[in-house]
Amino acid sequence: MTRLMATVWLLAAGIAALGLFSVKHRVQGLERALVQERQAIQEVREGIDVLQAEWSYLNRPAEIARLASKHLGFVPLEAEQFIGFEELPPWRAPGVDSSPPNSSPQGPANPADATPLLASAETRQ
Amino acid sequence: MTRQTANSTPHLNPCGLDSLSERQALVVLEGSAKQALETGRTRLLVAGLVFTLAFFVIAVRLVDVSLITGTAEARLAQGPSGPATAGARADILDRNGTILATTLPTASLYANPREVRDPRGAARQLARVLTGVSEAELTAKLDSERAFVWLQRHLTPRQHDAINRLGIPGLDFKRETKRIYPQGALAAHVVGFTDIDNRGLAGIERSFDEVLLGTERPLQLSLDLRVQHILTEELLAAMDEFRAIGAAGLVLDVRSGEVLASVSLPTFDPAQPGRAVTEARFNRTSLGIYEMGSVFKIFTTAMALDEGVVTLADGYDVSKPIRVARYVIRDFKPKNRWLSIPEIFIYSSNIGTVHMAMEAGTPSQRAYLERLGLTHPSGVELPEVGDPLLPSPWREINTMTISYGHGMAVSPLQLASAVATVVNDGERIPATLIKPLPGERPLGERVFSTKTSKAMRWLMRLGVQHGTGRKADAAGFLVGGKTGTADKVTGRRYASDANISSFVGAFPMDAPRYVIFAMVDEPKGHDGTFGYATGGWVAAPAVRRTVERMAPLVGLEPRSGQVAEGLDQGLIPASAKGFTLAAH
Repeated sequence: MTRLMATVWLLAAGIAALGLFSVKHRVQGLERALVQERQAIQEVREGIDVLQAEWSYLNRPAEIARLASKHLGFVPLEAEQFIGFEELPPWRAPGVDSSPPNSSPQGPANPADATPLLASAETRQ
Repeated sequence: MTRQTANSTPHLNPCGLDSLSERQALVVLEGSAKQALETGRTRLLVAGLVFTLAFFVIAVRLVDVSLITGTAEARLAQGPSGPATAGARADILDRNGTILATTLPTASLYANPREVRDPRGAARQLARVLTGVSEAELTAKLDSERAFVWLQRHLTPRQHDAINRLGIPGLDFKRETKRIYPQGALAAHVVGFTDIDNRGLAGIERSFDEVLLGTERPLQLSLDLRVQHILTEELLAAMDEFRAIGAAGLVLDVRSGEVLASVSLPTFDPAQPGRAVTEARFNRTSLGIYEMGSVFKIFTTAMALDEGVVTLADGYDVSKPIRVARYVIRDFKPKNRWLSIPEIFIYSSNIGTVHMAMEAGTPSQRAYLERLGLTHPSGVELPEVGDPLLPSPWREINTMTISYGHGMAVSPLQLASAVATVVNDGERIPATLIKPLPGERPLGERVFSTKTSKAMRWLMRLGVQHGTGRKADAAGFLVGGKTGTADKVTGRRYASDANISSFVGAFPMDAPRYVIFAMVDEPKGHDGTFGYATGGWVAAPAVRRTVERMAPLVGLEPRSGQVAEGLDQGLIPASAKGFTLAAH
C-alpha cells in the first residue's frame, strides 16, 4: 500500500514537474513573442507619429492655399456668396414651370428671376 | 543516516511518539520488522517535509506573481498606449488638433571606419542619400583610422530607409529624439522652441516645460492655425506695401478670452532659432510695448460715459488747441467747431478726448486703466510678457496725453484684451493661450456697465461706418473699431517720420464674438495712399481682408445689406436716437 502510494505520488510529482516545465517553456515563448509584438507596436506607433507630423507639415495653410489656387482655382468666399433660405428663389412645381415664364401675366418682371434652378435641372434631364 | 540513528538508539521513536509510549498502549515491534517500520516512517517524514517545502515555495511564488510582480505585468500590458519614444515630450496642438510641435525619434548615422571595406564606394553611395555632405568629405571620414565617426545627425525617415537598403557594412544608427515644428514659422512666437536636450527655451515650450515633460497628453492651445495664417498673410502684405519694419496682430475670442491668432513679424524658424536675428525672435504681441495712440480713445470715452461725466448728447468745442505748460495738444485733422461725443470719437479728436479725460479726472483714469489690466503685465501663459510703461508721477499732463494714447505704453495683447472687455458687456475676461476644457467658463470681472458697453459698440461701429476706420468695413460683418497712429519714441523724443499705425476692432458689433488688432511698425506712405501711413490707411484694410477671410471659417454668417442696416439701426442706444452726423 505504502509502496503504491509512494509510486502514485512520485508519478504525480513527475507529471506536475513535466507540466510545470512545459508551461514555463510556453510562457517563455509567449514572453518572447510579447516582446516582439511590443517592439512592433512601438515601431508602428513611431511610424504613426512620423506620419502625423508629416500630415501636419503637408497641411500647412500656406501650402494648402498654394495647391488650391494651382489646381482648383478657388478663392476665399465673399460675403455676397452667402444667402439665407428666405432669399432663395421660390420653389415651383415642375408643371407650373413648363409654361414660358414671360407669357404668364403674374410672372416676375425680371425674366432672370424665373429661369433658374428648375429649368436648368430639366434641360439636364 | 536515518537507519544508523535508528540503530544506535533503538528505544527512541524517530517520530517523537516515544514521549507518549508510557501512557499509550503501543505495539512495540522488535528486530527487522521494527526497523522496516522505522525506515518507512522516516522516509514518509522526509518526503512530507520536502513536499511541504515545495508547496510553500510555490505558494510564495504564487503570491509574488499574483500580488507583487502582478502589478508590474498590468503596467506593461498597457505599455503600447504609453510613450512612443522614451523621454518623450508631449505634443502641442492648435485648437483644431493640428500639430504645432511634436517629438520624433530620429536616427543618427555613424560609422566604424575600421569595418568599412570599401570607403570610396561607400562614400559614393552615401553622398547620393545624405544632404550637405560631399563625396570627398565622406571618403575622408570613412578612410580614417578611428573607430567612431558621425556621418549625419537626425536623418529623415527616407534617408534612414535608403541607407538601410544600401547595406554598407560598418555603418550603424543611433536613436535620438528631436523636437519637430511641422508648421515652421507660422506660430513660432507662441509655441517657442527647445534646446538640443529638448528643454523649452521660449514661448509655450518654456512656460509649460515641466507639464510637457511630465505627461503624454498633448497640450492644446487656443490658436486657430487657419486664422493665424490669414492674419500673417495680410500683415505681411501690409508690411510689403508700406515697406514697414515689422507688424503685429491678434485675434481674440471676446467671450472666452482665447487668443485665436497671435502674429509677430518678422518671424523665425523654430527649428533653427539660433540663425534668426534678435528682432525676429522678439514677440511684438506680448513682449513689445508701444504707445498705441488714438485707439486709447476707446477707453477714455468708455470711462467718461461710464462715470457719467458726459452723455452721448454732450460735446465740446474743439476749435482751440489745448495749451498745458510747454505742450500744445492739437487735432490731426482739425474740425474747428463744436463736436458731439460720437463725433469726437469717430473723427478721433485729441482735444475733445482730453476734455473728457479731464472731466473724469486722474484717479478715475488710473482706476479704469488698472481694472482693464493695462497697468500691470498681462497674465498670459508666456514667459515673454512686457511690463507696461506708466508715467511716474501721474500728473495732469499725463492724464491728458494718455487719454489719446501717448505717455503710456502697453503690449498689443493687453490692448486687445481691454477692448474685448469694452465690447463684452463691460466684463473683463483674462486672455489665454490655452484652449479651455468643454464647459469651462472663465470668471469675468465687471469693469463697465452694460449700458456703457452698448454705447461703445455703437460708437466703434460708427467709427468704421463714417470715421477714420472706414477701410476696415468688411461687408456684412458689422466691424467696429478705432484707428490709431502713434509717433514712435526714438531716444527721448517723438520721431516725426516714424509711426506705429494700428487698428483695433471687434465684429460683429451687434453681438461681438472676436476682437481683432493689427499694428504696422514704421509704415511709409505711397502714392496710392496720398503719402499717408496712418492706421486708417495701413492697418484698417488688413483688418477688413482678415475679417472677410476668417469669418466664414469660424462659422460667422455674413448679413446681407438690408439685414445689416437693420442691425446697425439696432445698435443705436435709446439716448442717441435721431442722432445724425453733421456734414463734414
